[in-house]
Amino acid sequence: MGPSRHAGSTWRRLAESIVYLVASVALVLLAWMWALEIFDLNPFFAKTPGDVWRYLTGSAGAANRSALFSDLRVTLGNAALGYVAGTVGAMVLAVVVVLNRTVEQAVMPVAIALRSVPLVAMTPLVALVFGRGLACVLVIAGIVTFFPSLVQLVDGLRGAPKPAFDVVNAFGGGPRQQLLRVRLPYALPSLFASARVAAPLAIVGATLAEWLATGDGIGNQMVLALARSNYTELWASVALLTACAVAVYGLAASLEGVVLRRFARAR
Amino acid sequence: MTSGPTYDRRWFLRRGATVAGGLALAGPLGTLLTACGDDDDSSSATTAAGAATTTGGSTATTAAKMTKLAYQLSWLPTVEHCGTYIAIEDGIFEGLGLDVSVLPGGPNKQTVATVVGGNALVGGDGADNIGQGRAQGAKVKIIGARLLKNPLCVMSLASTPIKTPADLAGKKIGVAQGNQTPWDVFLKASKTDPSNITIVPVQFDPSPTANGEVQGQVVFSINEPAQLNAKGIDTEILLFADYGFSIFAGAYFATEDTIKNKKDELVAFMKGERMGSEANIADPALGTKYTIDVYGKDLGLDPAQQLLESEDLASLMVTPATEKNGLLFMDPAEITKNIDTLKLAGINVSSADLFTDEILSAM
Repeated sequence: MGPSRHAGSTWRRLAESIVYLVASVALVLLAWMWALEIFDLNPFFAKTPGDVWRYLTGSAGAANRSALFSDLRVTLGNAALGYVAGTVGAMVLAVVVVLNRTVEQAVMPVAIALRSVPLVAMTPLVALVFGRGLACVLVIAGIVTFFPSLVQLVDGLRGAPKPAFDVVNAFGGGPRQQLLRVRLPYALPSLFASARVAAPLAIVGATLAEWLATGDGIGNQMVLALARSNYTELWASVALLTACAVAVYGLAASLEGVVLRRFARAR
Repeated sequence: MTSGPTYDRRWFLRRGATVAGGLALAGPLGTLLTACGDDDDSSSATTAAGAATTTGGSTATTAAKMTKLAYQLSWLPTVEHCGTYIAIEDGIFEGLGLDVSVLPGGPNKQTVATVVGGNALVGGDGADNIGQGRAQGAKVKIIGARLLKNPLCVMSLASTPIKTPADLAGKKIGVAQGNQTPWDVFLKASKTDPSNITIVPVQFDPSPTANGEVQGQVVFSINEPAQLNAKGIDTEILLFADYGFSIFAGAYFATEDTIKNKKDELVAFMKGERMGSEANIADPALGTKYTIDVYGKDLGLDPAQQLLESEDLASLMVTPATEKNGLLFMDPAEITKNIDTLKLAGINVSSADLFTDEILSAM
């Protein structure tokens, strides 16, 4: 595969991603308008894409936009930090689990069981333990991303082909060399596959922590908009967050594509 | 190159052990989760609504003529709403031809949206939240008010008291999102600068104040302070009403459409509410009983504290004007104060848009 062809296919993939992005946005907008129509909801709280558009671009648009985007920045920052914290944690634990069967059998069932405790119920407890600041957001957004990443990464670290280990063995490498030279590279596709799920979830986790604990970011602002019966602001926030989640998903999917072609296991 | 997983006898043994371990864990966990489930809001909703339906339909012959009416409470089903419970349990509504069911409110419940969306015919809330909804385009009007004096306050520990709005500076205050509008209005009415007050979201229990997570919390003066008192914790309150906050705390509202087309039902409902409240003022233990045994059964309420609150209710409901015109009556002078307070907070509604005496005057 020559370098020029490689570059060409990267551009093609990017173009594909953009087409998918536009298609999913169109789909969401259509579903939105149809749902309002079908359920015949009261316009007091059921706002249309047109209402949201006017809210963002009308006479008060500039002020509304700057307020929304400054809250969104806080939330995306929280989500990014939470995602990194959760993924690093998952990676460390995945390596330990793969290297030590006893740890796996002790840890994995608990990890899965813990995942099924609803976060809404857990957040006030986390707030009590970690305070109502950044630490709490990190823990909540981290927990959300931690579990899907952990399961995928363990599979990825395990999935390396046997002959690759044999090569490392033949050159006198031990378990550490196997980990560095075989397992971790082969787990990279899993990292990005899990990112597709985990990164949008990190946004959900961040908004949840903001709503129930810290009182900043768009997560809190949405509930305040609700409390103040400002439903247009609420819909605009939901639309923005959805757009962010779709964009993050698209980004992770394109990165996954690039990485897959480099590190895909031969099948 | 394919290296699929290989399943041998040891694999099955290991998996078997994990499954067995998981089941062993799941057993007690399942019980635990069910036990937790019993405490949540939704089950209390079913209990209360279930109880309401049973009572309403207890006499099969009259049940057919009963008009069903859903009432959205402004808050959790504490003793604050006991007039309604008494009217349901003692057959007052039944005598008026109504089968009333209550929908519990809570810290994140949007009462105006529930009523506008048609899930409840009548809603209860503060005049501030209803006014905010009206200003945002909800076609609703207030048809009567139960708690005429507003018990909203900032509660703090007696050891670190917040006594005046000036004391709020530099403090961390817990505000449930449902109380955000009253809080906005209070800051404007008392001319308090919000920039150096930190707001954090809280739910409905007063523990954030008790354990020091926040230095103050927006609550009802007749409810949470007594809850902490019952646990031996002394509190200080800063009453909103002392600083220009003239807002009816417990008001009834319905859509303009309902007021026009279902006036008889609203009149009957308000009659029942008045009679239920009168019965509780005569005997505060009555409402406490129904709160503890039926409607607030799952809230883990303290009977002694709820009785105290039940006794305090009269002080918020009875004014010289209601002595003359009956409970729930809204004095025009007080309505003007409500409108003026809302205006201070930038909520511009006229009294004709927000209030109507059509229902009360037909009672």
